[in-house]
Amino acid sequence: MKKYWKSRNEQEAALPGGGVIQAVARAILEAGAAEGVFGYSSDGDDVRPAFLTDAQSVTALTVPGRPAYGLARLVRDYLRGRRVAIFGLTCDIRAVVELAKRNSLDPDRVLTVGLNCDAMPQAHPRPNCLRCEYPRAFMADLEISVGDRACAAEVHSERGEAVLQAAGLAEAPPFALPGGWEETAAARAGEFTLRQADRKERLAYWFSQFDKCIKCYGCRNACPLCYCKDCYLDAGRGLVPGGQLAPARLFHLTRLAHVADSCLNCGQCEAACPMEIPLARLYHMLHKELSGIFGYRPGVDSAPPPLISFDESEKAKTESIFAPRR
Amino acid sequence: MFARRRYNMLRALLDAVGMDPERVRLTFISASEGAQFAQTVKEFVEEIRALGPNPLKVREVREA
Repeated sequence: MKKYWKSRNEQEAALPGGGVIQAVARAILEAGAAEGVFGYSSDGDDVRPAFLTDAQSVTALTVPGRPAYGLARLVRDYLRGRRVAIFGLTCDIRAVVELAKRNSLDPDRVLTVGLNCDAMPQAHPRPNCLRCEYPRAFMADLEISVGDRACAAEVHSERGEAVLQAAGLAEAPPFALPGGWEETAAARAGEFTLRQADRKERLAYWFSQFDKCIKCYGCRNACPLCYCKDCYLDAGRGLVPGGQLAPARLFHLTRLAHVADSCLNCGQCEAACPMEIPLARLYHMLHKELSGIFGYRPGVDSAPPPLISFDESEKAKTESIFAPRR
Repeated sequence: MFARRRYNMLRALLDAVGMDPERVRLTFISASEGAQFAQTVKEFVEEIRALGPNPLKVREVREA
């Protein structure tokens, strides 16, 4: 159930959101619920990821206007094994859920606090943000919508409840969310039109995009779901011929085949691409179809990823369930 | 069973990108059904031939 809060500390309460995020982070550190808080901190005009271990430093915590970094992947790469409290956007939290399924991080050691996008004015959203279906991080231990002077918070686990209690917040009057989410609905609908184009057009479009690629591996490195220690796309694996630019189109089709069943639409691939290839658009487009076929919502469902599992009832079916589209 | 799921995923992938998913086929044939295997392959080769060259085959060489 959603309730409204602000910090009891006067100085903290003057911060955006009534200092709730800071109070919660401080409580986590003081209670020893985590070794450190991993979130976004403001760096002048921009945000950067920060791992804060000192209760005094939590004032630096901020809510980014867009998913600037894939926090879950950074936890896997740099903070594995440590007890961490992530203060991330919904896409960060969903990535944590998926990485935990792939044994890339231990969910018992990662406490999740979700910063909802539903409270944020979407001034310069990324294209993938426009397509996002998860403005609220209901899969986190604790989800927070940050308002001007207070926050709305909802707990989803015992851990989240304990953390909220420990923060010792004061109740605040309810406030209306800015409503930026609804305003972008028209732009969001426009993001889904490519699928209707005919096959030849689609092929020409995607091949011309792939031909811009300079094989920097930025997409592969940034993707939270690319967790293989030995990547099939590396030089010397024999799949994608080396010494060729643009790389064989198989590079992108292969990554697509490996990741599409669980694509989170976090947009890190597209953000990382120096050639501005709309990768998230393709991956998310395919993923939406697969999500319908497999009935799987990545980052939300606790079921294992579809491509490494099957249902017993499928043994009775030996024909393809996919009807080709012309 | 895993192959079946990947096969369905692959067909959806090919269609999403704009290639013809009919280029890929999955059939369950036992090792002892040699004749059926040969027949299936022959038919499928003809179908592929009718579909024409694979779009991935067309390679452009970029000048440095």
